[in-house]
This record gives sequence, structure tokens and C-alpha cells, in this order.
Amino acid sequence: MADLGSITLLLALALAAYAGVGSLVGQWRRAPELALSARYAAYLTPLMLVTSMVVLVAAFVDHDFSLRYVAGNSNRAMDPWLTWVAFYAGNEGSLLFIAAVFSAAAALAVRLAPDEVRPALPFTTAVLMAVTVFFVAVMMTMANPFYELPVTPPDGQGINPLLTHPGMFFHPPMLMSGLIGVALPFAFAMGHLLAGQTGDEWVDTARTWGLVVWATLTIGLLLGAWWAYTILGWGGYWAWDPVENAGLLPWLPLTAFIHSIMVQRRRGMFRMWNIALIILAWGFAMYGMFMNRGGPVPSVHSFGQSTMGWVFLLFLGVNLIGAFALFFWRYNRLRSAAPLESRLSREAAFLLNNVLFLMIALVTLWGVVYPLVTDVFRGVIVTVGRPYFDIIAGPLFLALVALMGVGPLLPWRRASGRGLLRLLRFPIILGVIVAVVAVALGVRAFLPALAFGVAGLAAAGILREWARGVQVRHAKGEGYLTAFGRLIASNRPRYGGYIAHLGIVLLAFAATGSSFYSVQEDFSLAPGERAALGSYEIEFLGSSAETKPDRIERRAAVLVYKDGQPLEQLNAGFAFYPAFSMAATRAGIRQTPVEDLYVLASEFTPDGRALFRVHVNPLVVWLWIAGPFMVLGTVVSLWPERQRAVAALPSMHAAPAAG
Amino acid sequence: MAFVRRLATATLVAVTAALALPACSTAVSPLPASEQRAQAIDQSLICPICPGETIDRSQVQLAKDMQVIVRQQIDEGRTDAEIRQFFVDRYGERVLASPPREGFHWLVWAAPPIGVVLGLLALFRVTQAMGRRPHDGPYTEAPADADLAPYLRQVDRELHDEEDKGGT
Repeated sequence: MADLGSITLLLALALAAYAGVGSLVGQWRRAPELALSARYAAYLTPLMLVTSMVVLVAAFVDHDFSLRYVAGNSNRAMDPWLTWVAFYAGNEGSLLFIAAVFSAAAALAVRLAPDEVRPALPFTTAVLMAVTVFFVAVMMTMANPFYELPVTPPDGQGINPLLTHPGMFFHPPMLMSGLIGVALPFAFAMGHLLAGQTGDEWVDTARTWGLVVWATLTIGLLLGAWWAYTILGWGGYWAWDPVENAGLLPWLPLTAFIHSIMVQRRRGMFRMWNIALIILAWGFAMYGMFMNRGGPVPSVHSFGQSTMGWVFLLFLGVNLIGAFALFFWRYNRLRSAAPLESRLSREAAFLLNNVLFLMIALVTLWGVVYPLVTDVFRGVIVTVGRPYFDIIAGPLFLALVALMGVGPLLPWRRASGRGLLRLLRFPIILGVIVAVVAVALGVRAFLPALAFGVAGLAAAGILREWARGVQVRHAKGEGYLTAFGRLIASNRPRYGGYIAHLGIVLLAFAATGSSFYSVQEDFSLAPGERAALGSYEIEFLGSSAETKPDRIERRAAVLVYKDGQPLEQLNAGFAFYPAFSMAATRAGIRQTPVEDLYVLASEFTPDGRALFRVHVNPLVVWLWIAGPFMVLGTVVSLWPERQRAVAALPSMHAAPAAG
Repeated sequence: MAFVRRLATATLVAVTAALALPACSTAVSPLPASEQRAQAIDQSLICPICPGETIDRSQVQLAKDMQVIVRQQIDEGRTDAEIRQFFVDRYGERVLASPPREGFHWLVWAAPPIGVVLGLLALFRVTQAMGRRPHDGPYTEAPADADLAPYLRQVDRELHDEEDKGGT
């Protein structure tokens, strides 16, 4: 069976290489048959890679420990449902997953390419295939999942215990897909530069793929935060860890890209800028994969360390140099179709949004590389951690949220100062009210009050737009609900964006509340004893220990009281894995819309006492609620327009509400 | 119409108030001041044997011992800076969660704000140039938009009429 996996890998490499070279040669030699066969090769590549994937998963299910990868990442005691997680627990499996997902997406992108991107498609295909070839080649030479051990061990080493969490079923695949996916819009941009198609032909397609990838990456990041919150056992969800930063870095320019591409779509402006943004996004995405695959900085994500990181770094360098060389070669042809008429316009707001996103990316990168700077110049390695990022990136994020409230209200081309004031009156009043309410409720520091106010302003800006549109439609005789549905259907990219923006407002609320107002305290309790934190009290009921084949589970039962009333029982504890000499915490969490009570039991002493750490984390649940908003917003944005129903004006009113 | 607007406002205020509520339960920290100080120091110190984790997060014994030392030294009346220096003397600069704002390390703290200011200046200049720069002639909106234009103009007009009459 393993041989089948190796053969399909080799075939995938050959097919992808043929597809890339064939489409280029077919273009130069004007040989349509060759171009067609190259395209078919591109369609076949994912089939081969998926076959390899199936073979590897089957090897896990069969406990085929003759494969080094299977023996290193699973054992007989492992729950069978963890097979999928074990499959990508190491370099070999994650590279296979990345290659398979990417080749499938690439085949889909080629197959679904609309007419306007067809002239450049051979070049786009070549870029897509080059990326595929790189991943398959690295896998085959440096991390072959089908490498067979000389002696088959009786049992495997088992799965990394930190990965045994439901979040792990989706966080790594989403994040890996999101990172590699940035290559899709990148390939369309590069393909069009190579083909000399320097207009706006690539914009719609790149926007579509950009949004899909953005949503994937966003959800991947949120799932990672959720995993960290429930299993790492420190009561938080984001620590500005080097690898978390590596996931955030590509998200920033990608988010800038999906915004500024709208300006090119509508106004034919920012042509150079969009290309530069997508190159940067792909650069950061490669950097993210480099950090995950054995980068130089230690972190909780250092699962599969190897020298492979340096190959990734080399690939990153080649990509960036090549892409920017291409960019400057075509530089003179990437001229805007329209001038910027005013700094008080939606175009300018988009530009400011882009600059802010890039600044956040750059200051984050600066924090990540600074330890290397001190290492080189002073011979000391320092840590650049949370205090730096909170102080430096926090205000920039706040500025972005504020801009999110103002920007969408601005008209294209130019706004008058008076008109602007009229537009902003309502959001600003609401923002002030929110800030005042926050202060009245006990917020005593300037920054969190400002942050709540700004989030309120952004929410008000969006809701005002909705209310205004619904009113106009209602005045024409539509019911409020119908009017709301049709309003969204009338401009899906715009209103989908607003829905995603609401998700960001929720994130801002949650991040402000939880980062400024979390409290924690440690308690050592004997069974029957109680401890209080704020309005909560916990009573330690008793502990239990359970020995499983691969782990020892210790659990403390805790009764939670609020304002003296017993509420519910929580289990807090950890599982210790002797094979890894590693413990995975399982926090007991009581989640409410207002705050989480988060109970950890970190130690059980022989005399029956347990050491507890209790956190009260305000607003955290809104982080997880923000995710669906952003997905829904993306889906609405991408929902195809009714086939030119808008071409004839009267049908606009007759069309049923959709989407 | 004005009713809808007021309704929307009221809902929004209620929702945001609800969202801001936890502030009232926790904004006044239930912890004594010295413990709050100790936790702030905990969060600024990295556990030397578990890179990347501050001592308030880490579960290892060394981190717990360090937390005890922090509290002892607070009781002895030392300042935050003295306590941090105590650990720097033993474990080196990397024990700090972020570099101190002094000497060479001003580089890490000062570069971002300077960069932001320069970036905004550059944006200002670029937008100036963008207004003047020659471009590919009058841009025609995409066909779908062109078809929509009369409708959009109508909507705009109605919106503005609405604004003027509404006079919130």
C-alpha cells in the first residue's frame, strides 16, 4: 500500500511539472493541443495527491508502523477518531495536506477561470504549478510520509497530547489551507503581469479567491485562539507568540488586499498597489509556513522542527525577488485609470486602511525580528513579547476599527466637509454614548473607554447605513424585513462586507474587555474548602484519577457559586502523558455572554489538596461569535449576482429577495 | 421614519450597554493592590526554561518559585524596577517579556512610532501626487455599473432628500 502512496506522489510531481511547462510551451509555440493536455495534467495532479492522502490515512487506521511517519505520530492506544489529526501532526503529513489542498484549489481555479482571465491563464497555471512542484518535491526529498523503517516497531510513539482537542480537527487544516491559498490570487496577479495584461482583468477572480482564502485564514486563526484558550491552560487566547504572529502577518496584507481590490474593481485605481499587496501577503504566508515548519524561534507550535525551514526561506526569497522583479518590469504599464479626486473620499479611506494594515504588519514583524537584531549587534537574545505588541499594535488596531466606522459612509470620488459631518453625527454620538455607558459601569481607564467608544462608533456606522437603506426602501412600500433582505441583495459585496465588519466590532469588544479586565488568582484548597474571586466562589468537591493506556487523567470537581447561589459543577484537571512527559490541561469553563469563569487545577498534592488557578475573563464568548459573522459576510459578498438581472432597471424591483 | 431611527438608536444603546456590562462586575478588581502589582510584574517576566511563556502563565515549578520571590520582594518594599533587575541579574535580559525602554533598546520602541509618522507623511504626499498624476484618460465605469448609474443616482437623490427632511 505504501508503494501506491509513493507512486502517486511521484506521478503528482511529474504531472504538475508537465502542466506548468506544458502550458507555457503551448502558449509560445501556439500549440492548443499541448496547452489542453497541460490543463488536463493540472486536473489530474490533485487526484494523485488525494490518493496519497488516502493511502496515508489508511496506514494510520491499519496501525502500519512500518511507516516511520505513522510510527512517530500514532500508537495503538490512540482514539481512532484522532487519526485525522495524527495525519497532519508532523511535517510529512502537513506537507501532503498542503500540496493536496493547493493542487485541488489550483485545478478548480483553472477550471472555473472566467473569460477575462483566459489570455493569461497559461502563465497563471505555470505559477500555480511551480508552487505545487515545490511542495511535492520538498516532501519527497526531505519529509517523505511513505518512508519505511528497516524494522517495524510493535507500537508507535503516539500523538502529541496537545493535539488531542476538537479544535485540532479544523485549526491546522484551515490555517494551512489559508496560508497556501494566498498563492491563488498571487498566481493570478503574476500570470497577468507575465502576460502583459496589466489592466483590471485579473481583479474579479483574484478578489473571489482572496475572499475565500481570507475567510479560511480568519476561521483558522480563531480556532487556534479557541484551542489555546481551552488547552494551553493559561486563561488567554492570544499571546503574541512568534508562530501566532506568523499566522497573523499574512492575514494583515490579505485583509488590506480584499479591501483595496474593490477600488480597482470600481474605479480602476491602485493597480500597482494591489499587486504589491498580494506579493507581500504571499511573502508573509510563506514566512508563516516557514515558522511552522521548523523556524528558528521556539514556541508552543514547534511540533515538527527540522532543517526544512531553511528550504522554505530560500523559496520565500526566490518568490519575493522574482515577483518584485516582474512588478518593476511592468511598472510603467500599471497606471491608474483615474486620479484621486479628494482625500475625503472612499478611495482615500481605503488607502488609509491599507496603510494601517501594513503598518501593523511591519511593527509586528519588527517585534519578531528584533531579537535577531540584538543577537547580531550585541550578542544577547531578548524577548519581545506581549507588552510591546499591546502598546505598539493596539492603538493601530483601534485606529482601524475607527476607520471601519467612518470609511464606508464616505462617498466615492469626494465628500464635502459638511456632508461628512452629517454622515458622522450619528456614529459619533453613539460612540460617545457607549463610552459614557462604559465609564458609568466602572471602566476607569482612558484606553478601554476609548476602545469601547470606537467599537460603538463602528457598529453605529454600519447600523446607520442599514437603517437608512431600509427606510428608503420601506418608503417605496416594502415591508421592513423584505426591504432589509433586498437591500443586502442589491449590493452583496458591500453589505457582506458590513456583516464581516460587525464581526470585527465584536472582536474589538471582546479583545478590549478581556485584555483590560481579566483577573486571576491562585488558591490551594482541601476538599470541602471554598475560595472567592469577585462575585464568584468555588468549592472544591473532590478529585479523581483515572489511568488510561496512554495517559493519567486527574480531575477536580468544583462547585461554582455566584453571589452565594450554587450554579453548576465544573471539572478542571489535566491529562499527563508519560510517553511525552507532557501534560495537557482541561480547563473548567463556565461561559456567559458577560464573562467566563475559567478554572484550572494545576497540581494535586498527596494530602488531597489541589492547587487552583481561577480566572474571570470578560466578554470572551464574543470572540467565538464573531467567527460566524465573518463567514456569513464573506458568503454574502461572494454570492453570485443574479444573471445580469440588474441590466434592466424595472426587474430590480420585481426580483425576489435572495441571499 | 424618525421612529425607526429612534428604535434603532434605542436598540443599539441597549445592546452596547449589555456588552459593556461586565465592566461593572470586574472593572473594580477584587484583588488587593499588592497582588495586582505582583501580577503585573509576573506578566513582564519570562520563565527562563519555557521560552515565550510569562511566569504567570507557566505551570513549571521555577515559574512558581519566581512568583513567590516577586511577592516576597514586594513585601520587603522594593520597587517594580528593582524586582525586575533582580531577575535580570540572575537570568539575563531575556527574562524580560519585552526589552526595557532604555539605551540600545529604544530602537525597538521608537522605530514603530517613527515609522507610523513617516508612513502617514508618505501617504499624504502620495495622495497629493495621485491627484495630479497623469492617468489613462477618463475612466468608464464597468458596464454593470453604467446600467445601474441612473438607479444609483436616484437612490442617492432620495437618500439626500431623506436626510434633509429627516433633520435628526
